[in-house]
This record gives sequence, C-alpha cells and structure tokens, in this order.
Amino acid sequence: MGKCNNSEEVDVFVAQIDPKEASASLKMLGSLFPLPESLGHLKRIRKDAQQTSLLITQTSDQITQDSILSILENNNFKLKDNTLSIAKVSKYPPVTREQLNEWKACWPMSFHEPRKEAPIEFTDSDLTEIEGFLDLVNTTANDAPGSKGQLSIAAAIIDPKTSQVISVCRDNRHRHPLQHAVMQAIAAVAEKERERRESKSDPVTTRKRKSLDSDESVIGNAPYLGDSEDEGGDGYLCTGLDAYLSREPCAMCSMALLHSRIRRVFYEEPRKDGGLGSAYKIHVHPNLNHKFAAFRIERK
Amino acid sequence: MEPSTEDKEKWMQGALTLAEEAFQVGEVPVGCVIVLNNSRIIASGRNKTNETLNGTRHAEFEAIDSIMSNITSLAKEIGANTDSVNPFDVFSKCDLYVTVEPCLMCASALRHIRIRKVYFGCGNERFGGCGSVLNIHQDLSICSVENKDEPTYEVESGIFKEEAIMMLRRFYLRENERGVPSAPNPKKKNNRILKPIE
Repeated sequence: MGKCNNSEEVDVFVAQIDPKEASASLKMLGSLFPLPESLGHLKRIRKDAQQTSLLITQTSDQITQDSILSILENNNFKLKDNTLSIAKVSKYPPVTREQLNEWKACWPMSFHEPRKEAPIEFTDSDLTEIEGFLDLVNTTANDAPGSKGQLSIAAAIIDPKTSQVISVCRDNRHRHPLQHAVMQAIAAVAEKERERRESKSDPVTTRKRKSLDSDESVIGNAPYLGDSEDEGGDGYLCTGLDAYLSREPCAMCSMALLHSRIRRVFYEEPRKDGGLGSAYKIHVHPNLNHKFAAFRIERK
Repeated sequence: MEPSTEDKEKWMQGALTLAEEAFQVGEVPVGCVIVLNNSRIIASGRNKTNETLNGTRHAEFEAIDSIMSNITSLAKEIGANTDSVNPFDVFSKCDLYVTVEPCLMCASALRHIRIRKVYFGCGNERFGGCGSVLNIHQDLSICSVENKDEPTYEVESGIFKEEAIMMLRRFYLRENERGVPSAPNPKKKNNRILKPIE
C-alpha cells in the first residue's frame, strides 16, 4: 500500500478477491456493508497488476474480523483467501487535483472538479447593479395595465459580463398555466439565440447542414452569443447568465433554470412552495447535475 | 375509472412511437401522449431540446402546449363552459403516458395543469420528480388548502419499461460512437456497451 501523506486517515478492512468476482461482489457488498455517506469519496475496489482488493468496511469497536468473515461467508461471498487486512485511507474527499494525486496512493477515490464558483461577496457597485435589475423586473411585473387577470410577476435574464438584458418577461399564466415568467424568459433567450444563428450563417449552407452530422455552430447547443467558441462556456443555453425574479420560482421554474445551466438567481419575495430557498433547494440538491447560487434580496 | 391493462399498453405504445421519432432526429428519446377520459389521444409530444435550443422543451411541454392551442374545442367536447374557458376542466380529465418518469420540472408542471394521473415506463434516477429524486407529485406542502388548487396526482410505472430503457441505451451508445454529444460538452464515456435488460 502506498503512503497517503495525508494528515487524516481512517482504518478500513480490505480483502482480496478474484477479479472475475468483482462485479458480483461489489453488488453484494453495497447491501451487506454500505459505506457511510462520510466515506462516499472512497472507491469500493482497487485494482492493480497484482491483485484486486475490496474495501469491506471501516474498522470499529463494534465489529470484529471474525464476525465480518462469517457474514461474508454466510452470503457466499468469495474471498481469495479467508483473511482481512487493515488499510489506511483518506478520511476526507480531495478538494483539489493535487490532493487527489497525493492521497489516492493509499486508496482510490472519486474526485469532483470544483466548479468555478460565482462570486458570493458583493461590492457596493455589484449591489447597485443587482438592485437596478430587480427594479427593472418589478417595473415589468407591475406594468400597468397588463391584461385582465395577469399576475404581477416578472423575470429577467442578464449577461453579467456586459450587463446586457437578454430577456425580460411578465408572467402569462392567466392565459396558459405553464407560462410562468421564468419559462417565458428562458424561451425568449432561446428564441434570440435561434435568430442569431440564422442571421449569422449563410442561408444556403444552413439548409444543407440541417442534418445530425452538421457543423456544431449551426445546430449544436451552444450558449448565448457563442461563448463556447471564445470563452470556454460549456454550451448550454444560459451558461454564465444570471436570472432576476420578482419572487421565488416554483419547482418547475427552478428546474427549468437548472436545465438551462443558469449561473446565479436573485429573487425578492420567498414563497412557501418555492423551489430554491423554501421547499426544495433545487439549486444545491446533491442528486442533480448542476448547481447554482441563489440569493434572496431583502430591501429596506 | 381505471383503464384496462390493454388500454394502458395501447396508449404507452403511442408514447414509444414518439420516443422513437425523437431518437431518429437525434433528440433524447422520450415521448408522451395525453389521453382524454381514457377514450382518445388528444395530444402527443417528444423531446425537442436540441432543435429549439431550449432545455425546457421536454415531451410533456410539447404535448401540453398542443392542448392549450386547441383548448376551446376540447372544452366544448367535454361540455365545459366555453364562454370563459378554464383549461383545468380539460386537464383534470386527462392522463399522461410518458416513456420516462417526468423530471422535477415536468412533475411540477403536471401539478400546475392538474393532470389526473401519470403513467410512465422507466424511472429517471437523475432528474425524476415522481419518486426518484423528489416526490413532487404527492407533496402536500406545496398545494393550497384542501388539495384543490394544485392537486396531487397518482403515478403508475413500469408499462413497457424495458422498451423505454433500451431506447435510452441505444441513444447514448450511438452518441458515444458518433462523437455527437447529447450534452454539449460531455465527459468521455468510451466504455459504453449495449447492455441487455437483466
């Protein structure tokens, strides 16, 4: 076993198995000895040229080697030799690639490259800009007269790099139950992007290229204003963009923002059925594949 | 009244046809139909996120929008008030058949429109809002008093589950081979193989 050079380690039982048994063993191990969430960064299996080892469970006063072996045996678990050894593994998940490379010497771990965090500390001029966009949203929300039954809710999507307002929309659910302001604003960004692509490309080649294998710049899912080409955006519609909302979005709208890979969301009025700070915390849900920063703005 | 197994399979077959259509044009293969009073399909939809550049254009939204564009005549058909049409009169007599569990967004949308019941093929571990990630379909805390405003709805899963899964697997395998990404900048997954259902 390699050395971790890691200040905090824990002891675990490991056992050797035949590589052919690996997949069946892993399945069984998950139900016999589930790893606690705090050790979720550890891989269950370690393979090298000489041997295949399984991480069985953390050592503790409550469980002896013999009792583990008898549990494994009762479940027809096939170990290479009927013994366990003790290994030291990293107690914490690595937060940098350097830590991963250093610590994985003792036991392999999964590593999630941290996203470049959007700033969460604001200067006075940031706050002035944020308030300005919220004012714009509120003005749109309360725009008199509106049509009969229209709610005073609005949403804006902004490019923070240029402070450009890409879309600002008022709620339309009185005409269509799903046309909440956020959904409208996202649809408007997509509409603009489609128009931009159509005007950018030669109409003749565009038509020719409308097949699956076509040039990505024509039908690929590039973000607003083609960020992927020059700024390393990841190609989703609202990557790098911020949303300003007059009130906390519902679950539908929160997930729509997540599907669009929004960067930050600012809202004023919290809602008990809200999908962010209130009911579901969709922006930081551990099982979902994108996270974004959400801020509730309180004004005097 | 609960549809017969035969009916459920007939409607889900319709949803699968839509999913196949999505597969053919390079969209994530999810399809759905909406059935009025267990008598006929009044709308269908398939994923259109690539075509529209809009990540919210899931099959469910396509189908619901198609109903909304035809809402007056549907209200008339069920004998509802057509002076001021209330779309909930129609949706509350409708069932959704969708090949994959609705995501959080769609699960919430289905509360908003007051769908009657949702039938789906396979679960959706990554995004599912009807049991997998969250239970939006049954969450009483987000509806108003007496469960009237945004009523909870029942779900039933497993109808043609294998077919729905195999279609997704075929899709991701193909994307992998072509190097045409389903996500704009996907992580490399070279070890994908077409696994049969166990």
